Amino acid sequence: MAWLAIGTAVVLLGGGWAWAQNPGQEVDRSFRFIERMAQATDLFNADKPQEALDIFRDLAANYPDLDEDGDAAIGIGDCLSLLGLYDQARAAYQGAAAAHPNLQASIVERLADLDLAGEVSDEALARLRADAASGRPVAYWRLGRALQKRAQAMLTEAAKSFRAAETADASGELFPKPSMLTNHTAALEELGKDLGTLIGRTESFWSSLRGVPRKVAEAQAEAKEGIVGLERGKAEYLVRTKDGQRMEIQIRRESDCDEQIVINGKTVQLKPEDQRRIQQYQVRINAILLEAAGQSGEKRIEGSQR
Amino acid sequence: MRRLLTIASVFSCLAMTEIAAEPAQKPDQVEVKFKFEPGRSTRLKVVTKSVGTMKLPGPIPEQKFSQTFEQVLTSTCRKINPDKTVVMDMTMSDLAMHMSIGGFTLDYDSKTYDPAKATGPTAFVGKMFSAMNGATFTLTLSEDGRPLKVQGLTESIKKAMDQLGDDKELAPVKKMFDQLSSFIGDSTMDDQMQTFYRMSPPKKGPIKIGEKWEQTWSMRQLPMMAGAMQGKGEYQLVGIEELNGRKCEKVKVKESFSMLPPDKQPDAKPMAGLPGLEGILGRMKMEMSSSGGDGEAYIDYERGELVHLRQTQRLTISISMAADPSDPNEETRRGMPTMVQKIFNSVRVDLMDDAGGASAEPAVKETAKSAGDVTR
Repeated sequence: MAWLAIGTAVVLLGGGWAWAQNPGQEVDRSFRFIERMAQATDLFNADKPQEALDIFRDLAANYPDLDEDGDAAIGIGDCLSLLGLYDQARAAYQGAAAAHPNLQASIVERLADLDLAGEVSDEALARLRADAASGRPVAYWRLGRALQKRAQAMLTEAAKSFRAAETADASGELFPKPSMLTNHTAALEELGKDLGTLIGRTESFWSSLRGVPRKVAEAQAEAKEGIVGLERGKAEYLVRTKDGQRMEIQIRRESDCDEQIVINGKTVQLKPEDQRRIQQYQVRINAILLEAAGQSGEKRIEGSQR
Repeated sequence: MRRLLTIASVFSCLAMTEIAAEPAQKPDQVEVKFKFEPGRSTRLKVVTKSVGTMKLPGPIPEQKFSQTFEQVLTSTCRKINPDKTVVMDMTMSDLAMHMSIGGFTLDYDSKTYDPAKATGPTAFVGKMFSAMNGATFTLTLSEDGRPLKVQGLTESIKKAMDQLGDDKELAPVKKMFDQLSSFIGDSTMDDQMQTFYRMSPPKKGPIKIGEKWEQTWSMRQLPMMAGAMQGKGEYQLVGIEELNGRKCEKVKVKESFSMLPPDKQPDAKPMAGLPGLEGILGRMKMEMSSSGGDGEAYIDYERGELVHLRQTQRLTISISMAADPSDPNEETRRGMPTMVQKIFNSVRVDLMDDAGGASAEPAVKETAKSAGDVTR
């Protein structure tokens, strides 16, 4: 009987690997995993992060062996990031990095992006500065994005402070006339708005590269705010220089891109960066003029300037 | 490319031709018979699903990617030649595709596509797929089911491309196809037709449940590949079952492929003699590897027809492009750092009900003890 038992065990162990393999169930699981990952991916790409998150969590919990590349694990962090739950996203990314060491590089990038989400903290700025010390273009670029966000926040705070100085009770203090601050404060606020527009364009470009539909739409809307398009324009200036020379300047513009400049009868070609700067100021001038037309009840002026 | 591989693997199962009068099969062993009937048609539905990520040059993070591709392959036996070779007429139809990558989504269904309403990339892809829907070609098989020749696929695709006319958007695609036609189409299909044939044991006669066999094969090297590749397959007969009314052998499949080691790479390079490809394609280097490759196939052993196949595969594809200071295009002059795409892929093939034309969920009836449970 002992030999029979041993012989049976040998047969079962030796020939039973195929039985233990259970190929049908393995294939079933893989098919389910792929099907659900496809669903989660489609939802994420369709800007439905909450629904995608539910599936990624289910996959990470119930199919960890099939999530070899960590796509489900990292998907959890990506969804949380899109939902604005940055602390949870950070924890999810760190968990994914621990479970999938091969994802380290990807997660470092994502954590750096989290540093740029919302307000940029001092700690985040320190991390980004340290990363930039590596000399990588991407690191410098991220630091630049963070610093300009911080600059905008500080400009806003500075303008608020000056406004507060204008309106605070100055009795008992020797303080310059508050009205002296008004123009400066207004200029500072304009600077803050301009920087905000610039940041909006940068982040819109980045969001479109990341392929995040909602963020793209928001960024584009923010970037477009206040932009007025010039369809046609004509202007003449007579400018006197410091040494007494007179310069007759004529500008004719058929669109935002098509411009002809003639100075003292000679056509002048501007450098691209100068064209951009003039265009940028023209946008602001147009907005101011249109706002004035609106305030005064005048009919909307389109594209003309004198 | 993946679609063509799938097509090849699917209808090579129809290639088995020999009718033999044999005694009834023993319950634990099976011998595949090939049965052709001129005029008889079968249809296979093929669904390929892929998920993964695509890593683009920094600082862009990975883009999440999913794609589903469907098609129906109709196979009609045209004739059995005097030398017992068999000619099959094949048609691709009912093409449908869904793709989502980052914020970009594309949907196409040949049954509902309306070119008047299509815009953007869907219009672009729609034109191509609509032209390819209905493409036909011929497969010739030996009397023992071995694929011998594929004809007409290259021509069929070329005709489809010609139908696109002088569309400027599609001109680069047409040009690339013309240049690569010697690598895709008939010759590649011919290579891939061997896929299902490999699922049959190389030895003649009955095989027993539990019996295993292996196959290795070389894969045709596309011009942009960094080197030649080889495939490896491990197969095992794990059961004899009835599926959808068909008596089937159930085969466990495990296939993978990888780049050949440097000392085994062929001397000849695929770009040789292909003027016009030395531009961007010549600077591109693509490497592929796979893992997993597990699956199961049900083959009607009375007719040699594939009834059902499911297989998954993990693929890693990396692409890079060398810099070229003489490149007039600023965007491509600096080349491209390596981009890596990781994909988890599934392929499902079902023999559609000949009468109803719709695939049914497999109904498994166990007729012999299997080497593993089947869960449906």
